[in-house]
Amino acid sequence: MEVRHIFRQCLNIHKKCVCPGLGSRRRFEEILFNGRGLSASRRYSTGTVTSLEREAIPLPKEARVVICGGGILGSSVAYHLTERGWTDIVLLEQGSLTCGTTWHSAGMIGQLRADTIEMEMVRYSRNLYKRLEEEGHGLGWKECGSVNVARTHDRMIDFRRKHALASATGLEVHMLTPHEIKQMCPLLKSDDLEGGIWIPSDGAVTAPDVAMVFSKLAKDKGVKILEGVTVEKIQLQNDVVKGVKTSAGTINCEYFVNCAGQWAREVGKRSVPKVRVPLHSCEHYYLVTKPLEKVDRMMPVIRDQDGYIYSREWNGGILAGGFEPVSKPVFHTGVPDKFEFQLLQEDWDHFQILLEQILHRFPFLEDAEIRQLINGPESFTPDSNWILGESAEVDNYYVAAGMNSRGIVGSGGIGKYLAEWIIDGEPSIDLWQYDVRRYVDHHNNRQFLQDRMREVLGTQYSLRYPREDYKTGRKLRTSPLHTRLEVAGACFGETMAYERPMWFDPDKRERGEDAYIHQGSFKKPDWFDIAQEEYMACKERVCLIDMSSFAKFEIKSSGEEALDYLQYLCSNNIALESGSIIHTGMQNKLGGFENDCSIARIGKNFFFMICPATQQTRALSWLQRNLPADGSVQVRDVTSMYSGINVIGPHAQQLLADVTDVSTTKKDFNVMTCKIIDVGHAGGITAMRLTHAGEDGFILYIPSEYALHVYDTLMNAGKDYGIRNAGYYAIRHLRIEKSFAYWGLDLDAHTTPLECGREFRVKFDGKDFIGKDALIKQRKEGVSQKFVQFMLENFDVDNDVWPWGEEPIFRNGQYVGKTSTCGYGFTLDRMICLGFISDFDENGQPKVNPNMNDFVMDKNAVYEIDIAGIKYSAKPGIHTPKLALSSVDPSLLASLHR
Amino acid sequence: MLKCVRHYISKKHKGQVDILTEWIKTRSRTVRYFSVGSHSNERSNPSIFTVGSRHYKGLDDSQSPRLTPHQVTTILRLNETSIEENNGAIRGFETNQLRSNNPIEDRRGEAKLPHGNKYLFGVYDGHAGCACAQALNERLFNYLAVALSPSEVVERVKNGEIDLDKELLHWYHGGVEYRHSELRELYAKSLRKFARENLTNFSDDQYVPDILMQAFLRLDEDIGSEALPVTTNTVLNGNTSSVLNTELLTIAFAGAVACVAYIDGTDMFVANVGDCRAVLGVNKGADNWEAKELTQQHDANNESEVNRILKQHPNESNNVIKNGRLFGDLAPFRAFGDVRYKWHAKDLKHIMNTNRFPHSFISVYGDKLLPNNYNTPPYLIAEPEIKYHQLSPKDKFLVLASDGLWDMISPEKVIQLVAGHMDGRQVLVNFDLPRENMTLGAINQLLTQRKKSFANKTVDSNVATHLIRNAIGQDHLQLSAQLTLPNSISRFYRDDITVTVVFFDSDYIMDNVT
Repeated sequence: MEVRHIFRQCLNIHKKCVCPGLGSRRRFEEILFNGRGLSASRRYSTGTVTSLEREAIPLPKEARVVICGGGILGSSVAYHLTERGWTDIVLLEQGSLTCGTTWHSAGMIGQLRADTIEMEMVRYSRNLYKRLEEEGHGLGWKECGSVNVARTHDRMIDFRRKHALASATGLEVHMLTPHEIKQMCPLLKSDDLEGGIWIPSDGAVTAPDVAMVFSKLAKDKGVKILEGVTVEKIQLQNDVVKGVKTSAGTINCEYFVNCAGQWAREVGKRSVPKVRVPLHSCEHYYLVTKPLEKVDRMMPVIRDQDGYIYSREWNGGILAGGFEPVSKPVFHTGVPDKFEFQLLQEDWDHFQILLEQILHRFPFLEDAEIRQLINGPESFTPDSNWILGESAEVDNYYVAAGMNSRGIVGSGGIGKYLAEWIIDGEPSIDLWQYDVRRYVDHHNNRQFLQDRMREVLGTQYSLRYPREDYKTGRKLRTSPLHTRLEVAGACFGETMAYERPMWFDPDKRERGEDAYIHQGSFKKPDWFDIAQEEYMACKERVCLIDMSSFAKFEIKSSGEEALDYLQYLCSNNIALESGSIIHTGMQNKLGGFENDCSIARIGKNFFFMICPATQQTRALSWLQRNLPADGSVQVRDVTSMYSGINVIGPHAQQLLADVTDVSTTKKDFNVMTCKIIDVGHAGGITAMRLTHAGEDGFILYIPSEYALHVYDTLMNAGKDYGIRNAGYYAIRHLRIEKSFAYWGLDLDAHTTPLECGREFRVKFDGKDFIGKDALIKQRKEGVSQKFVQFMLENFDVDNDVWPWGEEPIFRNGQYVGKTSTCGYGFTLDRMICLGFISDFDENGQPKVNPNMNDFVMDKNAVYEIDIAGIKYSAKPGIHTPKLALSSVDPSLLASLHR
Repeated sequence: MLKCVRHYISKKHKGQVDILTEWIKTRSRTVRYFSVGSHSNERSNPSIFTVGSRHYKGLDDSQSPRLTPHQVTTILRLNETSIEENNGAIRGFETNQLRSNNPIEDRRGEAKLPHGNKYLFGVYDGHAGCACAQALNERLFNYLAVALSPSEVVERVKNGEIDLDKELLHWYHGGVEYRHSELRELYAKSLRKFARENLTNFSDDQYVPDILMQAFLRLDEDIGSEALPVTTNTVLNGNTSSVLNTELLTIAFAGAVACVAYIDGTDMFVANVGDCRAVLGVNKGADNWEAKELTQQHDANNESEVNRILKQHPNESNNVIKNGRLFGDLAPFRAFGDVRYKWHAKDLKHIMNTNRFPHSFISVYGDKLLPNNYNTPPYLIAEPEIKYHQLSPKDKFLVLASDGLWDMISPEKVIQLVAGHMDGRQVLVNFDLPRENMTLGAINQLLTQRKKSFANKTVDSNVATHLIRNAIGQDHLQLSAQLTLPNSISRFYRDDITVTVVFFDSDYIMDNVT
């Protein structure tokens, strides 16, 4: 009786839309729940519905876009491309639409995210689903709201930070007391809670129905959807997509989109070169109870992240699952054939940790009867972020996969921005954190993925403190100095799998603490005092900092082609004499920073380029894509060939002089120049007089086999200068205080040199370069955002919650932007926040202002920065504070020994 | 009848592992260990020497060659066997051996009598070589079977009409391996004789302990008389080859202790000679276990044994027990074989005179084959102490093991380990909802219970292996060190270990207890 009722309800929904195949919700219900036909003794349970009524569409010979994957992502991308007017699209699904993971998704739509970009994307999704539901497409949308509850004080800080950002950017959110939670959700145990946060406009959908609606709408506009067709090979010509060979024949196409879900990594291997799509499947569990009288259909979605769990109403009962701290990776050697509408055998013992928490939070469920436990595998990525965008390896090859259990909520926004990316070449917002080019090869290593996945699933809900690294899959890329530094007490952080010393704490080992895993904090971090010492040593003495992780490239030609090539890629003038170094951006056609790098002209036609570690894949891809077709310019990634040691501080000049034969005086070895020198017994070392931190010093790029020798030579020679090791936090604090913006942290593809006070690094005259037109236009019309340094007033560094980035900035009470990076200015003795601010119009669009500096520095403007619910007044600045640049004459300083 | 017989390592594989262990031991000789100093002159045979616990902690594992965990596991599992049974009080048994001596001096046997639910489990620990233990393994069950079988069966034995290895007894895992086919003939002859005598004395209401006692004593007698010098030997009639003669002497001069459990329905008898032990695991509710010892060790720590010997040899108290050993030499006070504590001095002297060639079986004794002040033999007996136990539903398992195990861990700990292993084994099975329409609360209760059991989840599915692993090392380093001890010193650290764990069927016992 009950089951029949559900089916009727589902069928009613599906009368409204004619989808290819049966109504998915019905199929979902049948597969999941029809009479417990899922024998646990079988490895994989098979659905009762095995084939669809497929329309026989012949495979077209040509299409503009071929999308691989008929889940929520593939159908959303198809739908959004048609919305932009592209309709010559073929969508290929190896099984049936939604048969991979979409069909068993829980369908919760939560908009509260840690950063504005993801919030914008999911908010778009939510609004779209709501609209489509209102237009009569049944996708099961219900606006029941969400309540996230906090068990700990730190979780409340996390909520307050998100509350500040969400409410500043227009999302209605309310902090809740335990008492208010009890009133809103009487079924929930609330006496052990610190509080919670309510998002009234959140809701839930029936996941497969969303995908079916997308595909139906796309189909109406001409997209051809073929089920039962497998992609066998992506055919390329000169590393550009040419066509797709399938089990039903070959299609010529311009664009290929890999939306193959947990199959995406395998699909990535079906081209030469391979496209890396680092993801791995994990078991994911939720249970569904039989209908319960107490459960209201509009019960809000509840998330108790400290207990790893979520729950929503489902057909009169409760659907409850979660993200356990240690997960079970599966399909290590590939997804089994015909894994369509299938689940994995349930491991109740593994689920118990979640069940216990579910029963703790919802005591009334003790007496609820089980309908089914669902073990549906989903794919996760090494950093728990989506994998989106054009691949580094192949032009016109796009990826949208690795949803990390956020596929349904993300699919709307992802579809929209991926369509922009495909059609416009760039998405309209910066998606670097999801960009497929943020990976290097090792991320795609299967063993690494399996190890990392054990941790990643749990991080969907576990409290992530700022700057917290993953604990698994560490110590993979290390510099030749690594062991020395480890012994010296280095505490490492990971970037692009590279272990970089963040600070040095020689006593850490004695305390039995791990050098790789650090307990994070929202307040003053435990490395604060050490970072201060290292900062001061860089200011007053001399330090060595391992910079080996920086991405390094060599660009060569036999004639002047390399110079011409770089002149076109770079916005600054590269045509300086040999031995010079130049800081330059590489702009995209909108003038934004594709990359921010330092280029040394080693020889007439030989350039050495250094850029942030995170740029390793992206920079190479950009360089290669723009290479002259005649092969006259050679680009080589030499990141692993050279180690980098930053000799930083007022004594650096004399120290280097002691161990080398060349004169290091400023007269002989000027700032922003480089020489090939010997250090100790080693030779061939490229010494550059710059530090990336505004202090005097040198970065030595050393062939890796000499790195240890050079390090030891400098350390020995530096004893009487009070030399010490320093970590990245020293550099970070030095540069934040000086208001130096870093790419990937402050700058991105949507910020231009003119917006961050770097007009002086743009060579407008005498050369053409990518993005020049956009920058000229900006110069004429003004900018719509400005990079600003804020100094916080009345900030108690010892006791207040720190700013860590993504804090909203208010000008005269109006939201104008958010912080990017923050740190303590040890010289200025102030907490410093960097960030972009804009003058937004009523629609939330930034206004172009020819006098942006006046807007920023308006004497009457009152700035405040909201840190976890407390607004601090802030003093803006658009230039480096003079005091921060102060340096001392080393000859007047006595060295202090620790 | 045998539900399932599993051999974890095939013979072929076994050979490879032996090569591996040999290689490791050879390599380890080159590694500096520690000073064995005071023991280097020790000439008493290895298993009589007190081994084990007192040296155990002194083993410096950092100096040992390192095995991989896989190698450790392979070595430990080399001899493991698991048998499931579905008849009578037995659910099955698991057994394993780990050698310290090369070759191993322990033996073990398990068999079922073809009539009724009667089982025999034996553990034998040889000394002065493995010859006597081997002979016990080949013969003792046959003697017991003859003594315990109905007269028609004994009749067929007497007439030589029965295949001893297939019809008299059902041996598990292929039965015993005979060392000498010629000896086999001789043994059969002795057994026929025993059967004949048995038939003449046959009566239906014989007391089982007496039957067991009779079989034990008769076998020891036969071992001795078969080996006696030809002139007095009535069995051999002078026809036997000198090789065989030497072999029989080797068996008789070697020794072995034995512990046999005989289970008939819910009646259990444990017959023990020497220092093996049988301990019963009794569940007294929930996690509360009792280790009930069914044997007493016959050695110097057993006051009644000391008194027994002193009473039998009243004027020799200064001499007969020295340093806790018989004549300062033999640790167990009861044993099979060891005729140099049983025969008359003149027979021993005759043996000494006729075997004065190098490398003869008596050369290990040098001039001391005949103990000093050897006045009133026999000093050593093979009379078993027999304990009867009526199985109750609370009795969950019986652990039979040689002193190699008990030197390392206490009976209480052994019982805990087995109980934990039983608990842990249950969680290896994937959990399925036991019934439809369960509430979440009820499911969680079941899962929470399982979670506790997960703490007991073990590496080894064979409980005997589990015991051996826990006996010899707490962690991988210790295990690796223990398993790479060179032959020359291994016995100073641990003895051969033999463990058999018999699991009882509580339901059967419940239904059949009278």
